[in-house]
Amino acid sequence: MIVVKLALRNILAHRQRSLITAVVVGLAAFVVFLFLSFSDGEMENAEKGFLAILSPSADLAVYGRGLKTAEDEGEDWQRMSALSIKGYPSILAGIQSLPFVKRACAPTTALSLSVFAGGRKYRDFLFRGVDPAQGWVVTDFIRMTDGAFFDVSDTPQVILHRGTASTMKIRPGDKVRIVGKDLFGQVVVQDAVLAGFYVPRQDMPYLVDHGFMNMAAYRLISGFAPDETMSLFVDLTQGESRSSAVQKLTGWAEDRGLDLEFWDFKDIPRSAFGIYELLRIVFMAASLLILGVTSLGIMSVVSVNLFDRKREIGTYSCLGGGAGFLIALYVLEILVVNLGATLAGVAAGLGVRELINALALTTEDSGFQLLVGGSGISLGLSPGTLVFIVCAALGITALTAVTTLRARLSVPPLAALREAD
Amino acid sequence: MIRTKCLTAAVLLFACLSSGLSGQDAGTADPVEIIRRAERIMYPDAKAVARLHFVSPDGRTEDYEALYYARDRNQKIIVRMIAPPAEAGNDLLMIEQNVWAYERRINRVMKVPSNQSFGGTGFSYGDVVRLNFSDNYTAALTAAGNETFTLELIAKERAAPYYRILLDVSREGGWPMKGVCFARNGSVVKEIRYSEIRDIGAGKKPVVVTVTSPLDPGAVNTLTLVTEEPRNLPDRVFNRRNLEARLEEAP
Repeated sequence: MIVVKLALRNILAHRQRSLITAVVVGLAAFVVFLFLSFSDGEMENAEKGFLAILSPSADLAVYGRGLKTAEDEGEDWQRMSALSIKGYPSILAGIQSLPFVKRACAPTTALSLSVFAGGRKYRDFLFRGVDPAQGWVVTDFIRMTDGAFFDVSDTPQVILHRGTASTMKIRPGDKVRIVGKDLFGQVVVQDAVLAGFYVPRQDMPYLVDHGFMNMAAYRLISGFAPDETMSLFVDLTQGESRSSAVQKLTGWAEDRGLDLEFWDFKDIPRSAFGIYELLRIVFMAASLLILGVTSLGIMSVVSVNLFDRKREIGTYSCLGGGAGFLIALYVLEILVVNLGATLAGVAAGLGVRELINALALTTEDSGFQLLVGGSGISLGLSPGTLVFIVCAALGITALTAVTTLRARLSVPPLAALREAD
Repeated sequence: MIRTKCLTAAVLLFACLSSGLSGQDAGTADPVEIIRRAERIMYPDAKAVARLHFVSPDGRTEDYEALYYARDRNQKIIVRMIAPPAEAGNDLLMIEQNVWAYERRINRVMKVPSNQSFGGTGFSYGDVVRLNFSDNYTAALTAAGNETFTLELIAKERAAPYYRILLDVSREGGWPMKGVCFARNGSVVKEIRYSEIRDIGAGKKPVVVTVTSPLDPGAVNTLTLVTEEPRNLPDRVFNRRNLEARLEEAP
């Protein structure tokens, strides 16, 4: 306890130097926090933006047994499709009725198709089917700008990205013709009605050719049987562990003789994150560089500080303070300053983050959208970021202690009697 | 990608051509027998040279020449590009529903998804290997005129390239005269016309195939078979390593 008291006393007694150390560490923590927060924002934007549209996710995924293995081995689509889930509506209803399941849906496989509208052909759209009863799969991540989202009608309907409205010159209610090949390679043609235009909540340049069709259209165009799907997605109730849910669902399926596999979605690689994961590594590398330079500064300040405090160290020695006591005392002093400054830097970063997020800035610039992971400029926050910064503060302390204390604390007791250092 | 698109279109045209139904006993009214007998005759194990002419909807034209080696009713095909010079050496191998492309410049063989689509032509690699009528379609005789039989072919499985095909077959010669391909909703998606009946080495058959599609107005794909020579190639040449080794012409 005496060590803590003395450490705090020393910090206050040498407040100018403590302040210099704190400012340097705090600034470094602030900058690193902003770097990583920007990276977190990219990830969050991507998750709620283009990834939600291109490759939706859930807590768990359900596949026919062997499908993931076949996919990993690069099997042909024809072979993989043989492992689809047949009779999925009753399976889905069964899963939805389980107490630990919040919601479940049958995601659809995207199809590359062309659209005929106003006598012209527009190529290379990517369409996904949406069951209006499971509309949240999409509506959580888009907003309609014209027309309305799919209703329960059996009329084949499509919605298109707002960015296509000006080139295609069509309006909600107009008829379009969808042409292309189904998932099995058979040529398909389907007439549909344009229900409206949407814009993703986190837009990206390459989402402009993404459209959605209701199941009335998708069933005809996908090539799947009406009760067939490649996978089911399951969201769990709050607090439910994924691994425990996988076990329960596996047992549930076995009891019913269903040949299904249940996967934690975290175990399914999502390559679309790649570029942002790479950017995060770049940000972390830059952060380490900043922290490295900061460490050198802190080591220098502490070294000079202790050099000037020989009498004080000598006095502790005279009073019976051994090497262990001295190291504990000065490590604690450095730690309190570093950790306090780090927390202050993080707090300042959180304030800036709140401010920027409150401004709800958006951009239409496609290059900037790619950089920030979407059309909304926001700073994120992840436990990883906080852990990284706190570990960095501890690392700087440890590095400083290892490199400076042993030399600087080797002071003879006689130093306490010198009039000046 | 344009090169692959054209190669695929070329092979499809070749498949359309060689799938002609020139059965010697076309007088029989059994459509299944007509198809089977015709396939035995008209999917020859052969080496052929074909010229391809593509006109895109915007009027752009492209011309190619290719050498084909086929066996097992088009279920095994090697395509060697001859012209233009820039494309020579970029070849294809198709075995059942698997397709590999050989890229000469990097000396690599890459597997290509058989259902990969190629723009407005509406062709995929699978179109070629799955355009095997007797395996993939049920046949019914819908009309028997003085000059033609009209057969209705319905896809047996969802991997067949077209849901329904109406095929006019010459009653006298047994070769196809016209094919109309339909999507499941009844829309016409492709029209194939067979013309210029000649014997170019492996029997009398139409040597010009013209493919148009109402879904691609203005686009016309034409294949002209220049020579055809019966050739019983061994199975071993139809493998990936042979794309580079070229054993099909070895003595």
